[in-house]
Amino acid sequence: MPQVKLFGILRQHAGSPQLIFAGETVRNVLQDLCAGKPELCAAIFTADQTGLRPHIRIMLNGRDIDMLQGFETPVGESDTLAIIPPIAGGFS
Amino acid sequence: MQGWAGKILDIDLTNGAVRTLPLDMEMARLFLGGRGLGARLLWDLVGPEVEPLAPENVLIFAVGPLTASGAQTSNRFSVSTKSPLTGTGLDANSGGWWGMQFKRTGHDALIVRGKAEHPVLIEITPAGVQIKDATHLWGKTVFETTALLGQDNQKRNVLCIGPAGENRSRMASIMNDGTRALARGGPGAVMGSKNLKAIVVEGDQKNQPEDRERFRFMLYETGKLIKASPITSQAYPEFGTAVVMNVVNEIGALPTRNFLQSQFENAELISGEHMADTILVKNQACWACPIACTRVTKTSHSEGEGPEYETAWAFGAQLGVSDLELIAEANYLCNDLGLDTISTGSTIGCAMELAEHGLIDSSLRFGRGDLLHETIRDIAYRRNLGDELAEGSYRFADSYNASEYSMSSKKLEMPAYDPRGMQGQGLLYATSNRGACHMRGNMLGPEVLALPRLIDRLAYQGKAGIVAVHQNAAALVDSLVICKFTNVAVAEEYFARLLSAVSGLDFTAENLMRVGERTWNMERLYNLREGFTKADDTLPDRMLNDPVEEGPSAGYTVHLEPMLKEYYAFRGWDAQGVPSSKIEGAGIG
Amino acid sequence: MDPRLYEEFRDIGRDIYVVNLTSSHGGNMSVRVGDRIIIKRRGAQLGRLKPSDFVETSLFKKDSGLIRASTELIVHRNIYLKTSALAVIHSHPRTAIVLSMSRDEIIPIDNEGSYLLHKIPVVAAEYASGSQEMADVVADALSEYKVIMLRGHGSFAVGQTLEEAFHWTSALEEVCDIILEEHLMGETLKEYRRHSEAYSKW
Repeated sequence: MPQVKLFGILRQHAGSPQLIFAGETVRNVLQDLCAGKPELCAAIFTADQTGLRPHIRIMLNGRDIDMLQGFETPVGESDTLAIIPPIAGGFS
Repeated sequence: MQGWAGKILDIDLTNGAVRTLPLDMEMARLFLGGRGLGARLLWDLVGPEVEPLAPENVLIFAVGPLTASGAQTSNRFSVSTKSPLTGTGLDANSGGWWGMQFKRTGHDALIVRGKAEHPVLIEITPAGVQIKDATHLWGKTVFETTALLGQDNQKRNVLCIGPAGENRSRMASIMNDGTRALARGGPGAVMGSKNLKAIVVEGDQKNQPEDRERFRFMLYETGKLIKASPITSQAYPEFGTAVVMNVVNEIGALPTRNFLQSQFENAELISGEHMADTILVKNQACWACPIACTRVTKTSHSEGEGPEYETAWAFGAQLGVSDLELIAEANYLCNDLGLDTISTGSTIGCAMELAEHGLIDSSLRFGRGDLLHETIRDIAYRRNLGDELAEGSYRFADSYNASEYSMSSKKLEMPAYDPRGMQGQGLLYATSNRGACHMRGNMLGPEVLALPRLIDRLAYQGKAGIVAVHQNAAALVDSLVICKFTNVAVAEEYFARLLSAVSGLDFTAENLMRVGERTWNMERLYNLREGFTKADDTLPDRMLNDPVEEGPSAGYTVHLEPMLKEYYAFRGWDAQGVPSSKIEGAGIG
Repeated sequence: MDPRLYEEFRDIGRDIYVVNLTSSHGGNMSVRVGDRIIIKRRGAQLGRLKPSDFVETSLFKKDSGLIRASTELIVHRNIYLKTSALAVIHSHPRTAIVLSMSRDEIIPIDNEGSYLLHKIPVVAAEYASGSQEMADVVADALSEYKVIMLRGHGSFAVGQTLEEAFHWTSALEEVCDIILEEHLMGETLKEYRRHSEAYSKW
């Protein structure tokens, strides 16, 4: 099942740096996440659940999903998703 | 003062002459202060015939029109000189309190020339300027010196070098307020070559805004933005800069073992999150800063500040070391001895690779964290192999005919982003005036964090414009002088209005971007006069020809040539990278 | 042209048309790449851009690209020469246009507008279509603001990407629609923002 890595402050919401969820697309995996971890879900999605909160990035195997097929990007069994909260280091 | 004090302090250590010169207000309007002013003055004061460690080199400490005004992060300052590491024009930038206090002495800049016959310190107080004997301090570390000279953050601030600067390591830093650093490019060695141990400042003047109401309004607006951005209000205070360790590792751009790999299997153990769980005591702020990204940390043996992301990388992934306490202590050591952590870590990693290939006779190997502290001391005191390492990775590796193992550009060691996984960063490193540097416009924002919007980190077309604009913006921020972390939340239009409110003059966002561009071109022309050419706008062979082997950036090298071509065109330079138009107010070209 | 860039042009062009920020063939968009500009060609429909609907032309000198480029190329070029913009969007937001004809500046009354834009200046040119005069007043204004109005004509917005320029354009019309609604409803407003009197001096 796909691994979901969490960084920064999201770990506190999840209670763990890494979790496992099921899904065949990024959208499915995130739905599974929301079903299992509502507090984490609230930190990632806007209140009306129409989109990601500003500055949240999602990567599949190190590639930003915006550069792939977005939420419809297929996720394989041994793939890793990473959810990145608003952060910066150095200078943006 | 409203913005500018209008005065430059000029001290010649050879003959003890202390003069106050007027600040050329036209120059001030075009270059503002800090890095810009420093670059412009350096052009006049230090020509190609001057050796960096000779008395004819100068140190220009400069603040800006916003310094000490009370605007958020208005505490920063810079030092400009010719770098003993790179031979380029150099400016290094630091925070803390010293810059604020120097401004309060009623000066915009301090030029230090010549060389004293024996160790001295400079003291600037309301009573006047004195050059005092510092023989009793020579040999003392940064923390000792700072305490002995009466450091009191709000009132009396010490800037000094440690043993590394005294011994003229080309990677030596100048430290202020104990733990803040003017580090890259080795300015500490220049200070050491002048026999100048410290500069102590106490001031009593204020930088009062001309339009107080407008200034208050602007402060409110910028404060709102800083509070609203989760980066400046949560991520930085909570996790510090090392919070990007895991992210950069995730995309396969974390240089590991001297850039042999792009992912570190133990990145988690040296990350900001892990730091928060283990050695972090609390966060801390510089003067007038609401962001408070400084880490106050404690290990089983010691305590101090840091490490920042770059340091955690330089003594961590770069060396194959994952012991965060060891790394933190290496950071405390570098602060106390006065060494640039990025260049020091990178150079040690270079030595490790040479040792692994049997090119040098040393027990250094990747992963040998147990040798780290001793090696750092050896570099500062120029003992054993440390005497060679103190020259920086390029000269060190070159002496063994192995310069290709130095991960540097223009002899400045590359920081913690593998450009093969971030093409724009590669262009940034190669074109940066002081050598490979991320603080000249970090592409982490657009290429990874979608700030302002996401661009494809692996694409190389269309990068030039964004890199150039970011470089201009960084140069501007360094000339105002404020902290780049503010720029994460606050756009240039706010700085323009803040500056207008403080100075009473009319600035627009575009004026300020032009200051940035002008500063950039000024630095470029300086380097060209020194003999640098397009051939120096390059990267190590490994970056250009060895594809990343594993991970999300596998198969990529840096496509520098097409990016460089686009970049020169964007900047209006010719095909050799020479600025073709006059630089306003530069009195040259 | 880079397929990703084309997609961005196409998607944003469509969004601009669909939300009525311009008529079928009005408005234009461009980006700067190195020392060249890529701009919508004259007569193309913003809402239905094809890869062949773009012209690439030099920023620093005149070349044959001029023949097919949008009439307002001169304005876009001036903006790139005088500002750090990497993308420009010109549109015809209806409410904004009406407001631009009675005001010298548009001051948001809503929270988001105040926060993002503070104030939108209105500039005027006698010959407001593809003239040097227009190019100069627009570029000068854009060196201080991210989005401005050209009286009676339309908006010009800049950004580091097309998306950013689109954001300012869309935010502008939201600001103007709210002002319009307030005007129609005629209710007494309660001031809820601190320092709001200073927005006009932005």
